[in-house]
Amino acid sequence: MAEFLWELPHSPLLLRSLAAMALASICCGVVGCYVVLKRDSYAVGAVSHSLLGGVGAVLYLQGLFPLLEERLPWLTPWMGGLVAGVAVALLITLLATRWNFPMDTVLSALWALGMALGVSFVNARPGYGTELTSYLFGSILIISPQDLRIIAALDAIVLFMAFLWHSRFVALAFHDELLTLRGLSRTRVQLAFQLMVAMTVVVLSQLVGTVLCMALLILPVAATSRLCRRIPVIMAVSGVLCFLCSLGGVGISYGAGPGSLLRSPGAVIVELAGLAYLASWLLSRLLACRKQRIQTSGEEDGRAASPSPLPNKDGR
Amino acid sequence: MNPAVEIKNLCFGYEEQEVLHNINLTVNPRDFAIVVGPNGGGKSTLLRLMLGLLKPRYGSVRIFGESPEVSRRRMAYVPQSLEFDHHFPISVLETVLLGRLEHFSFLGARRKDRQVALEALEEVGLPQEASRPFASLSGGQRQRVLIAQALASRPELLLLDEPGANLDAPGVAAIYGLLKELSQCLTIVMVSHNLTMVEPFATHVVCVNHTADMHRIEQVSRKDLHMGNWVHIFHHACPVTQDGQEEDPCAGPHWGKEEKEGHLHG
Repeated sequence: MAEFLWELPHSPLLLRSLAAMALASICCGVVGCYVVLKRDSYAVGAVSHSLLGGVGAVLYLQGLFPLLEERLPWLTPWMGGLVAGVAVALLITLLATRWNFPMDTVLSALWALGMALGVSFVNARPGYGTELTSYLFGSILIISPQDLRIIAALDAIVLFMAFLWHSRFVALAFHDELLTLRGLSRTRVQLAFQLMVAMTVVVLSQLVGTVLCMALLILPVAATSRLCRRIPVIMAVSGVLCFLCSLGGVGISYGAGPGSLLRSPGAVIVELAGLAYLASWLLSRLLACRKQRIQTSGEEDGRAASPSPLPNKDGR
Repeated sequence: MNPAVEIKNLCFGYEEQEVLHNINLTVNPRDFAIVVGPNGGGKSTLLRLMLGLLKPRYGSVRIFGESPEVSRRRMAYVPQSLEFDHHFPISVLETVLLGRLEHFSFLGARRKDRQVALEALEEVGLPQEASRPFASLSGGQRQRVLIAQALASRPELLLLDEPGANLDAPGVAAIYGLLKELSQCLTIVMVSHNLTMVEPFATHVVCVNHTADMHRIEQVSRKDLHMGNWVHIFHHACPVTQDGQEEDPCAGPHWGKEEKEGHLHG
């Protein structure tokens, strides 16, 4: 950890990762909160895993046309992932909301299909072999300036949508029929929600990969919501928690020597988030027990103070 | 002036089974109609058809002369109970504010919406609970918050589905007292089993059991009302025709389904 902090000011690469972590934490707190309230983490899993289809497609095209990388520098694999994520968000909304397909079937199908397409594309790629590992488990320490720009843009869009339609997203999670009853389109709000999820997942996947980003989106919010009772507070605190987990994960893995269990930053970040969730669970149990003890001791004191079986009426 | 609710020749069913058959109803502005009938008779379905949440198979529903989709913001609905996540972090005031969801707000609720929501909470007698978590309220208080949510949208037509179903006697009395006041300025259609409480201020009774008949409250015998005896109400009350004129109460026995169809078509 000390090694990471020492080198941080001198390395543009590390500074970029730090900026990416900060930006990702903001939309993680906001969108993660809607996802947890709506109990829709399975949709996050489906969108995030299906990103691989788009990532693989761009890698395949780049292998097929080597000039593509120079001519279209913005067409990064993650841009392909974004296109795939948006397409999947549209499909989920249409199939599940409009055409009443069973939601879990749709999500499982898209989840697996996206990954299968990604694997097919990457294996078919001509030329040198490509490692899918950095897309599956993230590459937080090699964020390019182009990646950072995309992350910043997506972050801005997600935050704008949340500011604009916060109450509609809360209504979607709380009692979605209310949207229809107030003359609003439920499909449109659902679509906006899925698009927000898709963009957030693209941002988080660059940090911890498509497989682990679901955990990073859910765990900080799940930990916070055990202890906080207001939506804006949950969003802010879980954003900070997400940033601390990312920073801790990168710092720990940065100093880990070869052969250490803690060498891959994405995994350590998610492990820290899991620990935070466990800690919040223990803390909330502890608080509940303490509250109960205070209540019972209060009752006992009350009984001790008025030994007569009749209630004490002195106060009246 | 358009009637608040006008249903013509409506048929509706889920899948194969027909739930409502040939419904004709007119509720005029400022009416207070109580919908009664046995369980499974189609009372809630009728409300959902009025709200446009269900589409009739045949016939039409007009709310203030327009389709329910167009008139949606002029009506509000209070469900029987709300199935929600009991850890959902939402305060009472925020729940009421959801009744004004369609009003655009950037960065939290507008001051005016907040004020209207607080007024609605005051109307239902819960102004001091505004900042409490919604989940921490009792069943009766929740029901009152849902009514406040409906009132916050400033509706002209209020539809309620058994608002007293989960409440104790004082809770029911409080809600019905509130409805009595509201009926001075709103059109109310309410599904209820508790006719005794609403009889003094209701104007019509709608008996729903596969078909529907609308009666003026005066035509229903008080004894039947107090006994909650739908069968008697069905048989002895006199139907109100579409133009509002009563038929002779002694004109004959109550129609069975076939006879009624014959009457309507003949």
